[in-house]
Amino acid sequence: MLTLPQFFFIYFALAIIFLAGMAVNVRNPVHSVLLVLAMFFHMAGVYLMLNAEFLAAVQVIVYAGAVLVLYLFVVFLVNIKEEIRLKRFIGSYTTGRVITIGMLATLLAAAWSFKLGPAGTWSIEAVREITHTRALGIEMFSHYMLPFEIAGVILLVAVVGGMALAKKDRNRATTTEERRALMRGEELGE
Amino acid sequence: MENYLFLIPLFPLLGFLLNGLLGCRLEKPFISYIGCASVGAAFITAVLAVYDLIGRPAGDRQLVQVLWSWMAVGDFQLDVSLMIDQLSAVMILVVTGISFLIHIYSTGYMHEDESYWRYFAYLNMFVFFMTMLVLGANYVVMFVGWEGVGLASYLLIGFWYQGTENADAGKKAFIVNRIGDFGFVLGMFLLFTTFGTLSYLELFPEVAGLHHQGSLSMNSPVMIAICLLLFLGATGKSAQIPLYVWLPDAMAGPTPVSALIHAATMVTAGVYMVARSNILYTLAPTALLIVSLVAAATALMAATIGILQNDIKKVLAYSTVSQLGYMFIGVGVTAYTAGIFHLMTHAFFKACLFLCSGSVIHAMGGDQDMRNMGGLCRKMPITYATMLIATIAIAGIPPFAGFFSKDEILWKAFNFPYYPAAGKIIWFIGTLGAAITAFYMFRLIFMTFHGNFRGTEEQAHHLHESPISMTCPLIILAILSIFGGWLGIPHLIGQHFGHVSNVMEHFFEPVFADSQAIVAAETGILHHAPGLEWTLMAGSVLVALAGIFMAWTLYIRYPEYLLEKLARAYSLHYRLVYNKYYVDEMYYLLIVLPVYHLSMLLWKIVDAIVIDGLGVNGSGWIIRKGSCAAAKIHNGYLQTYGSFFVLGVVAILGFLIFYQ
Amino acid sequence: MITALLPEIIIGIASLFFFTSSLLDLKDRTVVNAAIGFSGLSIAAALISLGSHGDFFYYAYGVDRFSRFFVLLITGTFFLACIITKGMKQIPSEKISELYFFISVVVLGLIMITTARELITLFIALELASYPLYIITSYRTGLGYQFEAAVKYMIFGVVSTAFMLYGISYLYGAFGTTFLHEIVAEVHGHMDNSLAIAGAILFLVGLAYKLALFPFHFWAPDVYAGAAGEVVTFLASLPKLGAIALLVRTVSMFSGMENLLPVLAVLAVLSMTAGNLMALNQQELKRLLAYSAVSHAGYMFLGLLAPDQGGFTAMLFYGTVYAIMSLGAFLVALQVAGDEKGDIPLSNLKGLWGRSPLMAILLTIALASLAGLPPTGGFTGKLLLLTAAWKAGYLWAAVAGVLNTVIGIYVYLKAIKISLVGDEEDTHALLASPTAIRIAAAAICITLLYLGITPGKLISMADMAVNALS
Repeated sequence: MLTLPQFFFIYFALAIIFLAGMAVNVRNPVHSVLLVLAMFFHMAGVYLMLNAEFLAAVQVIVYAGAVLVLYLFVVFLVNIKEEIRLKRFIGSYTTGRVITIGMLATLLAAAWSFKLGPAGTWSIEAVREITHTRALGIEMFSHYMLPFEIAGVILLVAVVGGMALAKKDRNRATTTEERRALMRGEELGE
Repeated sequence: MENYLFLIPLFPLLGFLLNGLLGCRLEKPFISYIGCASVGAAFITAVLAVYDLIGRPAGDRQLVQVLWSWMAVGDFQLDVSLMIDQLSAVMILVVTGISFLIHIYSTGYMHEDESYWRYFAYLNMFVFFMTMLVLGANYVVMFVGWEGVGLASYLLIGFWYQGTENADAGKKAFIVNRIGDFGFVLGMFLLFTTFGTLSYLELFPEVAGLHHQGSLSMNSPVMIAICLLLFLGATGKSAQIPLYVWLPDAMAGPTPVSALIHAATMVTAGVYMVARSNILYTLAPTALLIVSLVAAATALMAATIGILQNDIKKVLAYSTVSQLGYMFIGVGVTAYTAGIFHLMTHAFFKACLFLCSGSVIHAMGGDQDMRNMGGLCRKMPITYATMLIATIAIAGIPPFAGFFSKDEILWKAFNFPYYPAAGKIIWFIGTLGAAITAFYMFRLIFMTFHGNFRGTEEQAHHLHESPISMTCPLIILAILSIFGGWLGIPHLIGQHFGHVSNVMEHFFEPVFADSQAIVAAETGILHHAPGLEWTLMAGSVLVALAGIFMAWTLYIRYPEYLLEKLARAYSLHYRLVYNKYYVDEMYYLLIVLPVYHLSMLLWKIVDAIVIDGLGVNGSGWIIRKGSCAAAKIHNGYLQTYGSFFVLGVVAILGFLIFYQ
Repeated sequence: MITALLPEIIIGIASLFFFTSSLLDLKDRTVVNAAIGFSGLSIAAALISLGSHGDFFYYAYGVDRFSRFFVLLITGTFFLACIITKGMKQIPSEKISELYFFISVVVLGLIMITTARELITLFIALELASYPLYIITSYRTGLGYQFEAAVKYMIFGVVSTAFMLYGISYLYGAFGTTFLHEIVAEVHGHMDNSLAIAGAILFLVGLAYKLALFPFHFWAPDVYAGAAGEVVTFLASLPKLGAIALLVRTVSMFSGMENLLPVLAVLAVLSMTAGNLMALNQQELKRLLAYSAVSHAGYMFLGLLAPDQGGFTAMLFYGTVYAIMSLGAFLVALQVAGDEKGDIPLSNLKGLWGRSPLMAILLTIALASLAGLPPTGGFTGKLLLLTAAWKAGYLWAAVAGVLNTVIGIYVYLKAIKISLVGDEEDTHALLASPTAIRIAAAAICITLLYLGITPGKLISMADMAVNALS
């Protein structure tokens, strides 16, 4: 008989796989993003079951709340009417499927030798004792201080990069129409 | 003196740098002064070094100078060091001496060329690398020189790059040589992994010692492999079957270059290398057999091709290939002294022949076709006389230089200690080749200098003897072609002239002592009646005379008539030989075409499976730009790229995880 | 402690400086000179820190001889590349400050890659060294296909880092830690653990992508051809050094794994062959150099096969030489690029000997070195790599390597030939290079020859660096 946690775990796992598969396969990008949103909620569920309530909260707030909403905006801004009529896969579906299945098989085979049970200093009991959020904080600001700080620099790069890419070139075509015309002209010139 | 060995390569290097970097701003006389003086200084240093060497007791004739430690990684220890012993002494004198003469000759020959400074820069660079090759005290320094002379040769063949033919010839030479180098490098690696050192002074005693202890048997597979790989390198550099094809094409370069690089010095590097590695070859009789058989085949084949060539330089080119074959016969039948001896005499007379042909071409205004020449002996007496002397020398008529060296090789081949039966065959081929050599060389003389002039009016008017800067080297080389052979007068003849000893043999004795001891221990010392040696000697002179007589009959006595009759009677053979046995065409058919088709096929398959299989259509920017075959899998589509990427990961992981 | 981290501090200050200067309206020349100055300073800092040791952040960041060797290498390459790209012909003037900001961040990330000893830090540092490159790939005047190149580079990069992160998670699953010193202590019990093997391979894939190893190289030709020449100069030299450092560090940990080295040998041979074959038909200089990078990645992998036979030393040596010779090739490429703002077809090299003998000499030496001809550093490096592989028992790989140099020579010879041959009719104008460029060109020539003639010093330095690993 399944215990309750096992039941929930199996539900979350199957839902994640199903939703992810659907997100790739549906034709409408908006639907796709929404499916991913649902998937993120289920992932938060898995985190909860692993005693990682802080991660679960971050997952919901940051990914579901912020990142995906941003995606939705982008998708809305792009004219998707034409895109929907296109084929879902440009490349060969069969080739892709064969390679993916091969990848899955090898990774599963490798995972088979995984030894169950907690490894490292933080056993389940130790985490439970001081609560997960506290444990995460201790680790992040001691052992993993450096990567945490570097991640900050990466964000700076991302901000500057975003602005740099959006910055309009002086003396150059500004609208999409002009840009396209230029592109055509250059192609013809070659 | 050993502390000054570095000066020998240094002088040409300085000359190269000066001429190469500043040459375009210098006056012509100054450039030639730098070029000649640097090589002349190297020659004088070499003479002093050799003088010092000879002054020492026979067992102690080695000058070594360690310049710096090249690298030391773990047990891989290598020095950049120079060494002069008896073997490199002869080589360095020949190299620097002939280079000096040819530099002087070039000042006259190249006088009107625009890129005068570039020519002398390359030539000095060549001399630098050649001295490194000869003086290097280990295989790596030799290899550096080996590659360097290849580069210099490539640059000089394509010197007149205006013609694509010349550039193609240069490319062909370079690529064929790389195939040979492939063997050389592998041989070097194998040597190193087997014996742990590449330095001559450590390696050769070690090999001999191992053999005496019995831990290195005769004909062990690893020795055969080493020797054959090194020989592959030698076939590339020294133009033997199957890699000889580049040398005739290399005649596209200026004639002094042909004389220096493609006749006298660089192409003999392979012979030097085999002689240097004599102990290795002595321990691998099978390799020696292959070397001598290949050499004999080359000697005969190139000689027959030489019969029907009409380009004066092509005749000499095939003659060079053929003579190199004789040298390899020499070293192949363990007569290392004879091989090097022939190398030396050949350097004299072949350089002389090439320079004479250069003089003729100079007079003919660049025309190299012998069918347009004739009767030049009246207009160019000095060129005629010197060329005749060199021709007699190469034909093997006593007492000219070629006779002694060639005869010694044939005699030693007849007595091949390891394989007596094969030795007889090689001797027969060699003697036959000698007759053909005499024939085609005198054909050259008769077509060029005798009969009536067949060129245009303009050419006839222009005919003149070359300036003194060109004739002077000719005379010196002609004198050497006469007397150079007297260094190696066989004992048999020497005893009748006040016991003149064989200088070469005595001189080289310590270098080849280990090898000779091993040969003697393996086969016992052979004794022959003096009568046999006399007979063979007389025989080889007779066949040479017969060859000359044939040439005289065909080209002087009954010109045209007999020749056409012969050509008709043997039209198949005639065409076969005239087209150089179709070797170039064969290589094209057997190697170039299949490689080309294979690569096309591969791309087609990849194209069909990957591009169409992935259903990629349309055209992107990159596919239009990169329309060549190689870009087919780089079609510009991320899907394709990604598929390959993930496929690679899956393949690696799958192998590692499921293979266990 | 300050001396140990001096290079990081200098580069950090540099990136802040360029961040600020992008907001100001400085002259292009000022910015370029500042970049040269900062990179020169960082070399001095690297030299000062060369012998120092220290562990920081709970062993997550360990300064040792190995890391400082690479820091010296990276800062040196940075300096040289700054001089070479001085002209900034293909970069819009208003973006030059930002370009240098991004590049200094890349250098900072690369320094951290060579020094970090913890998987998360390594991963984050690698990201730090990658993102700015994606952005600057799109910097180019004129509407070419630089955005296509940037997108390709980024998607490829993201996929490969995803693989890498997945590999890290497997490694954590196998070892229960992300700290390298703890993994090293336990690695002997996990040599046949397929979880650890899969983790190590996926981790290596991410690095193979950086080094453009076949079949993870597909981005290289398109990105090299699409991005501005100046950007490619940085992109072709700097990240490779970080990848080499991390490869050596990783393989030195996992070299005992079953079948790992044979697989790497296969990859090495495939890569050098594929790179050389594909380079045969290239008519565009940057594209040719991209394929050359693929084949050189293969050669360098040969060094990984011989952990105990001096293979790592050879790889460090060859990495150094490779950085210098590819910079030399790019120097010439940028000089002959002209103002067309487009590709650099090989025909641009025509008559180079007559236009600028120094450039022709540099091209000849750099390409001869890439081809592995003596007496250049490339020859010495190849010799070291091939002997190491041979001694480690990978005879077939070494033979394939030698065979490949034979093919490779043909590729480079073509370019050399074009540069030495000059047609009377279409001789381009004389090349007037700035003095700094000429000095750099001469310095590269001399260094390549020096490394060919007396490689002993660099080899012993590399040897010391490798010894610090164990």
